[in-house]
Amino acid sequence: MQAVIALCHFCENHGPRVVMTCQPMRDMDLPATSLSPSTSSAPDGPTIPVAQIQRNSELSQRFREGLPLFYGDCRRSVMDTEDRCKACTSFGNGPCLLSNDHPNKTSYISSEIAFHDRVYDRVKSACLRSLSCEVSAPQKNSQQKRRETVSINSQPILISPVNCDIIFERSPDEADGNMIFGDNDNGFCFSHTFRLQDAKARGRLRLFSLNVVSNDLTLLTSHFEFLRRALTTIKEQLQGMASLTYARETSTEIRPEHGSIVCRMAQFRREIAIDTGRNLETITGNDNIWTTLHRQMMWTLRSPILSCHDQVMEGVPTQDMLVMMELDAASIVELELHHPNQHEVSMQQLSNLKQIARKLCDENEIDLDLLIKQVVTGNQVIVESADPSLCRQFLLAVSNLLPIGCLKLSTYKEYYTQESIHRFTLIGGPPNMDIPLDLDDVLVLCIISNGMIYGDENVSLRGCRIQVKRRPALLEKCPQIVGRYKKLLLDSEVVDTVLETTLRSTREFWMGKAKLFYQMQKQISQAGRTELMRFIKGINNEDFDVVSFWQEGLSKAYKDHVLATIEYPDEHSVLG
Amino acid sequence: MSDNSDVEVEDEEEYKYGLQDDSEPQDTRPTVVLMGQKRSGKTSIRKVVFQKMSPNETMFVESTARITKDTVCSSFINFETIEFPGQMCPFDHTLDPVNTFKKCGALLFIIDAQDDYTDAIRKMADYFAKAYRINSKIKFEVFVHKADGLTEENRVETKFEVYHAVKEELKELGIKDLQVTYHLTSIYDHSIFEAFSKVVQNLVRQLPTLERLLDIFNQGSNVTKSFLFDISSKIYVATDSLPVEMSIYELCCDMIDVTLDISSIYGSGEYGIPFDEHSAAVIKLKKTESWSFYSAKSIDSWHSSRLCAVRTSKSRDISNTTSPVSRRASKKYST
Repeated sequence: MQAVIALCHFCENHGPRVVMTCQPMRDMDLPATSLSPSTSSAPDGPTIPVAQIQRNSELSQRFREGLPLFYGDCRRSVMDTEDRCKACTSFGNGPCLLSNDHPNKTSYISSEIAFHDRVYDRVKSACLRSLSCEVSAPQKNSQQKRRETVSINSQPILISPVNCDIIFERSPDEADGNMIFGDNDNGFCFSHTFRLQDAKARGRLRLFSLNVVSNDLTLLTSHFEFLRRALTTIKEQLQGMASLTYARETSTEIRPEHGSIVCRMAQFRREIAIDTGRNLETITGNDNIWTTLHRQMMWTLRSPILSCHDQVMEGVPTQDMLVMMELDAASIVELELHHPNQHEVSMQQLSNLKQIARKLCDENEIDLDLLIKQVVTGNQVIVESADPSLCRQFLLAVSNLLPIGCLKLSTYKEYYTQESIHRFTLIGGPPNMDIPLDLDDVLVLCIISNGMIYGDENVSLRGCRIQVKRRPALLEKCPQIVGRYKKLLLDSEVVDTVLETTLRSTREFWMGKAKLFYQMQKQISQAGRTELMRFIKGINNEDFDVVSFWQEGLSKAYKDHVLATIEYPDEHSVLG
Repeated sequence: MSDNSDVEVEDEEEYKYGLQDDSEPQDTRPTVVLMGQKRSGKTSIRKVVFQKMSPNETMFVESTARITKDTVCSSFINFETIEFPGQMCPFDHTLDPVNTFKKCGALLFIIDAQDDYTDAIRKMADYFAKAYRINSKIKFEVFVHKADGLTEENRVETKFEVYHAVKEELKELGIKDLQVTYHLTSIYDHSIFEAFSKVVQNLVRQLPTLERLLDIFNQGSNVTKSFLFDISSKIYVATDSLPVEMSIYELCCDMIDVTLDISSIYGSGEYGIPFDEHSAAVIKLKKTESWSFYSAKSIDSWHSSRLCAVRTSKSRDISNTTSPVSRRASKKYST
């Protein structure tokens, strides 16, 4: 959020003063973003006392891990020259508080005044205006209403002549509350003005305001309700602490209502020992008040950013998304699912896939059917090649036909082991691997390179030849999805981007069937296979292998949810 | 005769009675600006004079943070008070000083006489000079406040000291023809009302006419002294041309309180208003003088009905002789 939050106080000695400012600092790719040696000619080194930060073991550990100590330009360009007393001082020019938001590359720094002069000027102007000039809209107060009526009507109603002369007179508390003010020159401000009880203050109250200052009016108006609630919560907490301290300090005093005021004037004069130099720590009786406030202000600034992220993720997650969340990082890298240029990578894979389809179809159309059938039903496909990267690219290309959860990929293994039989469905290896002959449901392919050496990235299968070395028995009828995939891959008019979308939608369509099958299987446990197949529209007997294999691609979260729903049907609704 | 009628018409145009017309822009109302160091008693004065706060309660008044505006309007008084917190400079460019002081009628600077006032005087001279440069028609008034804490000699001495110090400071700033009026005030007696009355009188445009009318009334009715009061604030808008004795003014203030108090207990009319245009009161003191209060039934609305205090030298109830208003009086109280 492009805003800062400031706590301001009307100091009895010095008038309106900014007491604390919480400002986000963002990484703008400036050279001085960390403690690493700066290449800029600007004076290096932050004013933030590093010693204090390093005392915090977690932070220093992160620093050792290579994360920056803070983001953005954290140099102080303004020094506070105003007179201050204890009541209007928080951090002074000394140490301030820092919180880092590493994922968003933002540091939140709470100091007495803002680090940058433009921000400081705006906060100062907002402070003056919020405490001394701007008045919140009148709350719905019957008395107020009546007074205003009198000033308009010539006939007075139920009012003594004493009151009717002074119109628009409002008690100080009525002027407190929320308001938005500002202009393009001085920035805009959402302000919440409030009073804290203090036994030693004049009138036993001190005036404070919490201001959110930003250049963007829309930002303040669109988050009005959020800011109102956040600042009100901070205010109520402060008021609660202050009134406890107040009650403790005044408990032994004689209240002015007791007895004749005139007789006790001298006593009162003694009792009202006004002390203007009490700061927020004393008033609230909380030594950690600045840290608490820093945390609250930081979260007030940070929450809108997080809610933006939430909105991006909104919508029902697909099974692939859920599975990806459940996968460990190593598998994601292995499957090339989280590449910086993910789009390019998947386009390359699809182009390879089309090459494979074309080559196999040219040799023998049944081989393509066989390959797709083997892949989608979870039977083994073994690719042999002297070049591991070719194997890898072949298998990754083929993996686009399956949901992420169904991928059991071993891109290159020197030997075909017993473990491979059970764990993997897509296996790569050197030529002439020793594959047991009793395995009948295996498709063995051999890629013969044209001798050109490629790098790991962007390996194309264009110049290679694919030879089928061993075929499993072909069923009479292929599953429906095989036909669909075949058509898509061989159609030269389907470009890569369209192919990606159509493959994805086909996968999701069949994932839907798999989900349905899984749910029904769990709920009607005694029902047989054919009976279940009958319930689900659009699938035939030949699709059974596909549907049952693809159930493995369902996310753990979904499976748990279904099981929980079956067990406690009232508490859960079925996840879409 | 024709000349006279012309004059009357002119006067009517010149001096508008009653509340300002709604259509008239609010900005035309003169303002009284209250300034002073922190804790000099600005808010207390405002509260005591305009809001009927008891002087003792002002000890518990909160520090004023906001620039506070009050609108005071009645038949003859129609102005706005603006109070600047002592911690703020009213000439800060963000507060639009030119606009504020262009329509300023009187500038009141309050000095705490019980405190060290050297800084206050320096600041005051500076503010006066700045305000004078913006608007030379402003009436400058200094309230040497909290005089109750000083002895009789000290008061005069302090006023004298302040007078000289201000003169010196203004001389240094190069301003010579700036007239400053000084008042010794305290909220614990009537001096604050008296001083504020004088400030307000400067803003009442119809003052000379009112004085003359009261003189004529005195002569015609065998009355020794008469005031035109604003009962809500106890400010007197006008009196006859005889000098005002402080004791008489105090007596009037006390009697207004008595009248209002009794009236609020026994005098509620159909609208529940304790003192309306039909009300009148006669208070007889032990000595051979009596005071009568009349609600000056006039002009256009309730807001304009004000109190007229009349003192007669003989113990004679004048209520039947003075004005048609009193004959219609529905309530009359004697004490």
